[in-house]
Amino acid sequence: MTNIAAAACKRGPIFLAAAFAFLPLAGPAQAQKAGGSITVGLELDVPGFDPLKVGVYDAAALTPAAAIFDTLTYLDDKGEAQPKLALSWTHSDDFKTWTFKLRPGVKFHDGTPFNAEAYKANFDRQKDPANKCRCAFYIAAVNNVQAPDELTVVYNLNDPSVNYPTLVSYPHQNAAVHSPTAWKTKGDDYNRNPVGTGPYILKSWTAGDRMVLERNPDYWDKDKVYLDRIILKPLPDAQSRFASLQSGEADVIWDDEYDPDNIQKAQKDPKLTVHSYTGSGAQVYAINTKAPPFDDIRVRQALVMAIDRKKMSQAITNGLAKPATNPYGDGSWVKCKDDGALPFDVAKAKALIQEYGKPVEFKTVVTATPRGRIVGQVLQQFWKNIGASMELDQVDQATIPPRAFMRQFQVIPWRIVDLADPDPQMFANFHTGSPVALANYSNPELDKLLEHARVTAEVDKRIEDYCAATRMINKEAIWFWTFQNTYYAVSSANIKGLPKMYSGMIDVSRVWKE
Amino acid sequence: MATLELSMRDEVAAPTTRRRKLGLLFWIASLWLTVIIALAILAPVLPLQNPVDMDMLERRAAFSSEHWLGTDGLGRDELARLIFGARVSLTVGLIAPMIGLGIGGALGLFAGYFRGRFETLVVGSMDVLLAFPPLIFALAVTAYLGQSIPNLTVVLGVLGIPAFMRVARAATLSLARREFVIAAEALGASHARILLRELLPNVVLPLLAFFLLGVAVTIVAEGALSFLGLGVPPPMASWGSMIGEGRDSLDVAPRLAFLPAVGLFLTVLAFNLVGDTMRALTDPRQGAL
Repeated sequence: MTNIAAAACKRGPIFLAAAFAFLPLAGPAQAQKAGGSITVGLELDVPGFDPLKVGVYDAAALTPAAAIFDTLTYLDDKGEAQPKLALSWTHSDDFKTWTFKLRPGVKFHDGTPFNAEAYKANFDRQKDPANKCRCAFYIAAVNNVQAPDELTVVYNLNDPSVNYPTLVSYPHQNAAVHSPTAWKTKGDDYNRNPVGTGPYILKSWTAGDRMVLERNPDYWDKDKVYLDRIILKPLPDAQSRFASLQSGEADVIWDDEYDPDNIQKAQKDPKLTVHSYTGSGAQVYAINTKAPPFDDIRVRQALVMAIDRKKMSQAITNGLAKPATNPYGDGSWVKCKDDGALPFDVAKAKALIQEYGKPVEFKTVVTATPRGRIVGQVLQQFWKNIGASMELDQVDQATIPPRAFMRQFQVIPWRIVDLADPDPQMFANFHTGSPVALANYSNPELDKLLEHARVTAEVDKRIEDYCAATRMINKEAIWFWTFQNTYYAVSSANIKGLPKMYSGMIDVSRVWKE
Repeated sequence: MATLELSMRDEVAAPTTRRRKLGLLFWIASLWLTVIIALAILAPVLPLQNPVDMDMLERRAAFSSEHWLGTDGLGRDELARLIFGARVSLTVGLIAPMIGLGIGGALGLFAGYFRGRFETLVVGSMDVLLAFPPLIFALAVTAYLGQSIPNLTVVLGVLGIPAFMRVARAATLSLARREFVIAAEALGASHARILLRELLPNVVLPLLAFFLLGVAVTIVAEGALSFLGLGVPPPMASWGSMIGEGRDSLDVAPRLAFLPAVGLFLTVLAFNLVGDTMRALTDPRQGAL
């Protein structure tokens, strides 16, 4: 035996032992680790979960809702609907009837079986005019829901919808499935004692302080749920929210691009991970075309041409916000080669204002918040550069929708939220006669495009329609878009498995901690 | 406005020494006020940059020869904003107490002189005004009438009326039964003459001293309202709104909040110092000794 061979023989077992010792270590590092608890810092205190009481779930409410409730479908990484409470679905030829087959054997946290009857009860409760639910507005397009047998739900729509399953893919006020027994027995208390079928059960909730969710041991998909406990805390101040993440008090926090300093700090910090998702909507402004001086297209075009979105993004968000020239966003499947966006052109805008002749003076509605004032002042500056004088009309956040619906504005901020299909919002925002057609603008050609898009199944043709509609809207300058919807969450680096933040929802129900 | 009354407590300083020697602090304070007021008045003719023009790519710039005090969160010249902010803060700070001085002073004078039911009514209604939460009042006015400097001034002025009324009434009460008033009455002087020629000259001095303290309090109150976004409408600057805007970048550029805060602090302190000295000089009780 040579020396080398002897050495190999001696070392062989050591290598082997080392290899075996490393294997079990390497294994779990890749796989999901069960157990533990995390704390999530949200922007706002959740007012409750009863749709009749709260009307709309905000972004903060979606995080607990995703843990407590299930929906018929969920969106995968490609943005396509996948089965959750529904196992499969079919549609009628005219896309006006959608039939969902439900998952058998699912139970609510209180033991009530989940079935078609329970689903229909949820829908009917929201739709019933006697309940006066603000949430009913969002299901106006659904005529009724039927439950022909234990595990079949049939949606009858007023208008065709080619992509309906994607619209019930996250637990918003209309899609979260509540236990009918619970709301009947708890009455007014149900709002703060929600019962769903989801992976977590509400254990305790102290208003303004914390909400504690415990793992549901009987969950139908319990193998994919890892954490024992989720604690949610409302931390309204961005600075203190970020501080609590740095100190380890929170594991995941909600953030937004108006807090760019902290996001950029977190991007450089190896102990932190920044999660972001650019959705399918945009931050937009509607111009009231019935209110002078905006009854003149030249003035509207001039306003839009005056806006330098890149500079605006730099000024407001350190360049984080992504400029938008159409309402679809990176996250949407609608991509336009040519969206007909008006160029940023101060000289042209000035010329248009001069051509108009009269002084251009108007008011823009902004929220009475630091953020609203900053955005307002930047727009003010752009418009001052072209010789238009704008005054800020500061109002409470809650008064913006009524002002919009009553058309009491000249320019008003609005948001196109992420929906997996553009139809509901495009139709509502731009079709003649819709209550949300804020610009008071009517154009039969635009109507025709929108009507055609909603009954067409071929994606290519729909994209063509939506791009043509956008070209028309951009040319007429009845609305303008500033930035795409981008959502941010910052977490400790050991938090894994956070899914894409569709609609700005931080869904921690399936994450794990390393 | 409860703080205004704190200054009503008796000053125990010896009048003779005070009258001669005003002290170094008084002169420094006066100098500061002169400079600030001069800057505020001359702001439009000074070679300053436009306080609302943004250079969006030059945000939160450091001190430089172009921007002496750097730029704010939207790339506006900080020095220009500080000086134009002083204009707003001082305009509101000086005019609002004048409203209080005029209305409150007159009411107090009448109440202290005529007494009876009129006094009960005035004192009662002032108590009602004092009991009303000032912030709610300011909120209600800005919500209904909109945000503007005149509205802000009127709100702060009205809120100052009770304090001025009390000072004027207290001074009048202590004088109304004095020999020179009784003598004037005996000579057959009319109420108007007694009020204007006998009482007013004696009441107006403590009121003026109190006015300076009122200015200090009003500047702080305007700052607080602007900080909350209820003050001057943007893009106009006031010290309060500048502190409010600077708050967002406290950890990145603390100077944005601290510069206006220092301006506010020094100015309010100066008004207090000058007001205190003036009051010591004009206290009617000392004249009675």
